[in-house]
Amino acid sequence: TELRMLTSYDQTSAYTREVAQRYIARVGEASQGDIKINLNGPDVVSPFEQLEPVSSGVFDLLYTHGAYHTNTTGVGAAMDAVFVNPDATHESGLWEFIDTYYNELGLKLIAIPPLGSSGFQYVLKEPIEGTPGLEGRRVRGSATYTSTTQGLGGTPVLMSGGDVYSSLDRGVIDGAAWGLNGVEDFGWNEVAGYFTKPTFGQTYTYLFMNLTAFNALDEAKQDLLLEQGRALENETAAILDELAQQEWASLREKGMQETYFQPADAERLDALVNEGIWQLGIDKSPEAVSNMREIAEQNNMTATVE
Amino acid sequence: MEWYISLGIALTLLMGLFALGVPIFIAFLTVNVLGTFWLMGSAGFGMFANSVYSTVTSETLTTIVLFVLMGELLFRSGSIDVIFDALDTLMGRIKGRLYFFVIVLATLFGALSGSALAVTAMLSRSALPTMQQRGYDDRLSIGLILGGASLAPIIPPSLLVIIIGSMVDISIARLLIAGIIPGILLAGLFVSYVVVKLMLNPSLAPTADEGGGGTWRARGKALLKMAPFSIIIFSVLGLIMLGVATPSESAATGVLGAMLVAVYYRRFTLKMAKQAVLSSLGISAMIIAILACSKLFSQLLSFAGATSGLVGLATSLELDPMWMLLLLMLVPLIACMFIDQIAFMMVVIPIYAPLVKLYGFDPIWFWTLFLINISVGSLTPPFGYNLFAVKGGAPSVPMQTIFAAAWPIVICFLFGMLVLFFLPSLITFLPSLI
Amino acid sequence: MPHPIARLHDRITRFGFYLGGATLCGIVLCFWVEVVARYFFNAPTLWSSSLVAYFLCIAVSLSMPELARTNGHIAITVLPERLSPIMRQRYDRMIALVAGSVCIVTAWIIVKETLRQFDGGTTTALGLDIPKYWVSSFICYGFINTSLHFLRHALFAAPPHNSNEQQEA
Ligand code: NA
Ligand code: NA
Repeated sequence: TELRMLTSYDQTSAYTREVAQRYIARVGEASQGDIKINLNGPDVVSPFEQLEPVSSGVFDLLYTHGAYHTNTTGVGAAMDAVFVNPDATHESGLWEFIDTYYNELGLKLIAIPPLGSSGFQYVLKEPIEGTPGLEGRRVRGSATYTSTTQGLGGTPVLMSGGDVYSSLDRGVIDGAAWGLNGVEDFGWNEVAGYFTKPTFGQTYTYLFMNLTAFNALDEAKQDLLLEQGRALENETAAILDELAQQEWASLREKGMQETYFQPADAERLDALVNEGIWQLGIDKSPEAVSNMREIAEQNNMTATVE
Repeated sequence: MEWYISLGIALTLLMGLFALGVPIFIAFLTVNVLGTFWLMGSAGFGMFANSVYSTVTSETLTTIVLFVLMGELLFRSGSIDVIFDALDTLMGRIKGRLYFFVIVLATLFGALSGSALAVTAMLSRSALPTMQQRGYDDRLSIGLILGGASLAPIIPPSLLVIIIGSMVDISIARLLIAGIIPGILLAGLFVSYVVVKLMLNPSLAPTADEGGGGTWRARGKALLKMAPFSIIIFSVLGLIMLGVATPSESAATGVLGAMLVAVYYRRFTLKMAKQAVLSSLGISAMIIAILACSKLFSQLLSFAGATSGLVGLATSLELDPMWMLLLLMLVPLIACMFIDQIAFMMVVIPIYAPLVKLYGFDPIWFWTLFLINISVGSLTPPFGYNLFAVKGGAPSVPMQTIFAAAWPIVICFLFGMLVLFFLPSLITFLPSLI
Repeated sequence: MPHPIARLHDRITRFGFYLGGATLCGIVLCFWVEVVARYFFNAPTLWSSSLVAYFLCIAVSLSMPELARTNGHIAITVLPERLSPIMRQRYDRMIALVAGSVCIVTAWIIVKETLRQFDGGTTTALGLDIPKYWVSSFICYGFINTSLHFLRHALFAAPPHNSNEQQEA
């Protein structure tokens, strides 16, 4: 069987390499070469438009982040408000809930690989002084970070990723929010001196398969794809944590320093970001995300603002 | 279907449609419609529609509209005339002086805005007609506009450099700085090209050029007259440098600058503004329609495996480093004539990166040459998008003239790259300082 | 004198183009507001970049038909220019027929997709999210009306060759 996978991240990125390619390798090995997966990148379809061609069957598999398809549903991105614990995600029924939800969109959920046990950080031009830590700063971030940035006294700025380097350089913005991998790739260490601690929140990616294509496979192959997805979920957090550690070490070598949120801010970080993510999700898909939140709260899988 | 057959069919069809005189955007659409039905059937409709949608909602393309609007305002208000008059006095009796000035203008605005397409369209709409009126040669003027503007991604700031830098293990700051000397070198080559052309054929410079110069008093006055022009420079360059505006926003502040200058010369009227808006909209809509329809073309080539097949074939050959380098450079030069630059980079960079290490090329040097190649592709006939931008800005100029104008500039670029190839320190010297 | 329906059609196209011009002014304003709000008031808007993107789509889509009406889309006309005037007219009408047909198929594809966006409740994916079909509808208009102008050109009369074309000939 030959399958066509679409990835939202370019072929050199850590996520494609460490998650998508790893899955492809796993499946190839487990099926003894019977299932082959070809990978297409964002040059074929831009990340924000990738869900549609997979549901319509142009591609069989999709490796993406929920934030890339908030134009269709808020469910995928809302998972970012849930603590990293793949076992709990399955046992609580949350995984199945999301699977059933995406089935309606013509997609089969294969895996929800977390991108590390923690999710986000800020890159700042100047170190943090006092609370709230981002007071008076203009900070670039996607919608995910808006409420966190505001909660920390900063002013959120929306701008395209390509503009960030020169905007930091020229002081159009004072900082940028980002995940724990990629700051070095983007060269932000050349234009900003600090990354913040503690890191906060968590973030997940998704592996989907076109539902019709999935149903067309025999049961053994279906099981194989799902089993390998499950194994992948348990594996990725540690791998990406290790990569983040390596990146920080390298950033320090290149002259970047840590800067710490004071305790009053630090203890609110997780709750701020989770609350913001739930709200975004509920705005997009009120019923489904409220259900998700209920499941997560009943099982102590999220922290939110009281 | 093998990738080279798909690629062959697609390119033949596209070139055939171009040659038959089908509107450019329709030629792309035709290939896209056929390609979609053939490769994906109705399942591909979403991709088709989204490729148009994502292009026409792309904030970066507003630079084109706004720069053309800026050019329109400057031209229609006669500000360009005032500036050129003042230059006549200032630059004295230098023959063909506006040729030199337009190189500076194109290079400066290209470097700042980062959009060769936008600056080409703007100058074709503002400087070119004024030069035509004054008896300057179409072909030479157009070539220089194309050449200067094409330095946009090479001289910092540059979005393409940031994309390359974030995809390969290399310092973005160094890669940005590396473009400065090559950019100046290439601009210098354009200047020498003009000098040689004028020596061979003095009639290319208008006879009116004899009358330039003037007393020191007149020169002082001329300088004063040019002062408002610094408003434009400030409203684009200054605001970027001061961190007030991002490069995309600077196009809009540039429009404000152009309006202020027109007001200063007492040439600003609502009627003029309205005409400028409509005319710039027409020109940029024409360009953006082509971009919107060619986007799917790039995607389909990637989908059919043609892009990676082409690159893969080139890189699979076992050659001497010299020949390998030549081949690695030839691929982007040719491919970027008809594939979107950024889409192409996403395919080719991951494949090239390990080869650069394997062959031991200096990465800064290699990627700068790569960047120059990509830039040349965008002005090489018959596909280069910047050529269509000239046609959009100056519809009265036949396409053949525009093509003929581009070739000498392409040759200047190739010669420049040869120099950079043999003298790598021209690229690597500045980055080694930081 | 063209048929009243043709005149009405031209007028609608022209009106759309003016509307596009107004939208272009909107783009400029949005950028100014963003720069001033961010730099001087430290209060960047979260809507300006989205609005700019929508406005660009509207401005371009509304202008495409006007370009078709006035022969403003560029082509490489080396070959047709060698034809005799009568042959040239026939040839141009044939090209217009091809162009009109391709635009109709394109419009059909995009309309289908827009209806799907409508049914599925798809929104845009920028800071300021609105139903995607609000934006896509303009693209539909752009291609439908462009194809109408090409087809009119093919089926009825010589196009109003604009002044630039005449200069070139
Ligand atoms: Na890098
Ligand atoms: Na530049």
